[in-house]
Amino acid sequence: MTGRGTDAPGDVRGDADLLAAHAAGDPDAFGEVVRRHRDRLWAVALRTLGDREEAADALQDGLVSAFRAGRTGSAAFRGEAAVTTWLHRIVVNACLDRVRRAAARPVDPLPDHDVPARGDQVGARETALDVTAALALLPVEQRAALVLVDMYGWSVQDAAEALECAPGTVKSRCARGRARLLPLLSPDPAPSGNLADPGGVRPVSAAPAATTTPEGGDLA
Amino acid sequence: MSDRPLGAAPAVSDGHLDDDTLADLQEDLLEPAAARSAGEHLAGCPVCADRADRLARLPGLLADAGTAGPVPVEVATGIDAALSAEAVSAGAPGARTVTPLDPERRGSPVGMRVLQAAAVLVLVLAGVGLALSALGGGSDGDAGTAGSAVDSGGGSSERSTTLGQFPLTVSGRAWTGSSLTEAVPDLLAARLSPPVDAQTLRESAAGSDTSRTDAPEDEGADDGTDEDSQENTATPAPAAAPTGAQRLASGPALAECVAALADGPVTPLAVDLATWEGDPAAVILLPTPDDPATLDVWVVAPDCSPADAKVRYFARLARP
Repeated sequence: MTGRGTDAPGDVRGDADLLAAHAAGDPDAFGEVVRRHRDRLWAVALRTLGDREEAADALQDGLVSAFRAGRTGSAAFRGEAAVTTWLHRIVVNACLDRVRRAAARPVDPLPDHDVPARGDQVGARETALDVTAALALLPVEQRAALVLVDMYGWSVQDAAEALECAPGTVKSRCARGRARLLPLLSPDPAPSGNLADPGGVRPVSAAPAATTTPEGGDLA
Repeated sequence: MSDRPLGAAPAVSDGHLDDDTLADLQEDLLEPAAARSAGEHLAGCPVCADRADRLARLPGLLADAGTAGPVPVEVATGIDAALSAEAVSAGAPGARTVTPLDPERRGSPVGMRVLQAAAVLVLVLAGVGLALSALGGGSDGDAGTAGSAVDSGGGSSERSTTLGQFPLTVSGRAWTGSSLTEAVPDLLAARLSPPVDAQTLRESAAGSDTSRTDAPEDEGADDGTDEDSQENTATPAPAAAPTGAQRLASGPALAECVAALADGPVTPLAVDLATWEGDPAAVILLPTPDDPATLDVWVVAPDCSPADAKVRYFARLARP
């Protein structure tokens, strides 16, 4: 392993204090924050974008944005979680921006250089490749929600803050994303409503007409 | 995928709940009546119950696939360089970013050292770095400068204060992380191949007969002070250094690369011109700042520069 600073005692200040110091001109503070978070931010960017080059660019763009924003001192952070969420919000937004800018380009379903970390079991690697390929087929908003919530265990509330949307929107994106992933990751011999002619979909019972939730339009 | 709004009545295909409905049900997104209806169907339908079970296991599947490993060295280096540029371009407050690390700050992150070193370079290369370029005649592969990396015996130029004396070998080996780790003692002692002296570098960089890239297996030759040492050689020629890696046999190029990797100009512990994953590369061993018990092993591409160190591999190892 590279050992890049991971065993270093590092700065004992908390993330929020470090960002305050960064705003005050401390030359080391932001670098320490980056060191602490970059692996997780890299993972989120990589899984959200599915492409190492794109993820590297997005991560760099995001951290430069964070550096600039942090310099203004306009953001006050309460606790470490707030800093984590803030950094993820900036990096995820950088990911979404890249996807949106490239929207006209065809989707690369599975870049061949995107492989899981070395040391994984073969089965896990295959699973990861499957998941990466399947995720790439989802709208990026669903992908980002699933990466944070399902892949990295974020709460819906925290993911909503990072994704700058309502918690209900996160839930709907996750639900719709999972529904799309199900036949991709777990081929179903039984008929799938998702793959069927929408004309064949019918109510199973005479349930009352449901109201549309505020997140109802968030179907990407 | 269905376009119906969330919370609508459960939908089926061929008598089964569709995937959206199952997923919405699990996220409590269905209206109560629809949820109740879907639940009743689920209770009596093994097919849907099986799909619901697999749907519920999807988050675990994603979590298992989430491992991405640490951020790659080249990505971290790029980030550091970008932040360095940002700090320098931002004016006065950012200028403080070029302040060298506090020596008391043990084990500081390598990435930030690179960041700061790069930032320092932006400002001080006008002194040392550009002077090196001038001494090098502005050409990376200039045969006339090839020896400057090792030639400190002349002593009077700035270059000698920048790189000093160190073992330089041209093993041409295809290094890997593990083989490098094992070979550190040999690299430090220049035992891998006959160390290369200044004159030899000049010749090899100029494309002359590589059969003369010999030198005595004598660490005394490492200091590059003996311009005639290659005349005494009788050992077989080592594998010729990859042409690309020869660029770093140029004093200015190597000095800039080393300064980009470390906290400014330092004397390498050893340098070997070799290959990494099939491509020409230079192995540069540097002292770990503030930690005499370890050393840093860097593998860089031949076009390593302050703007982009082109790091291929990094490891911090205990000194032998």
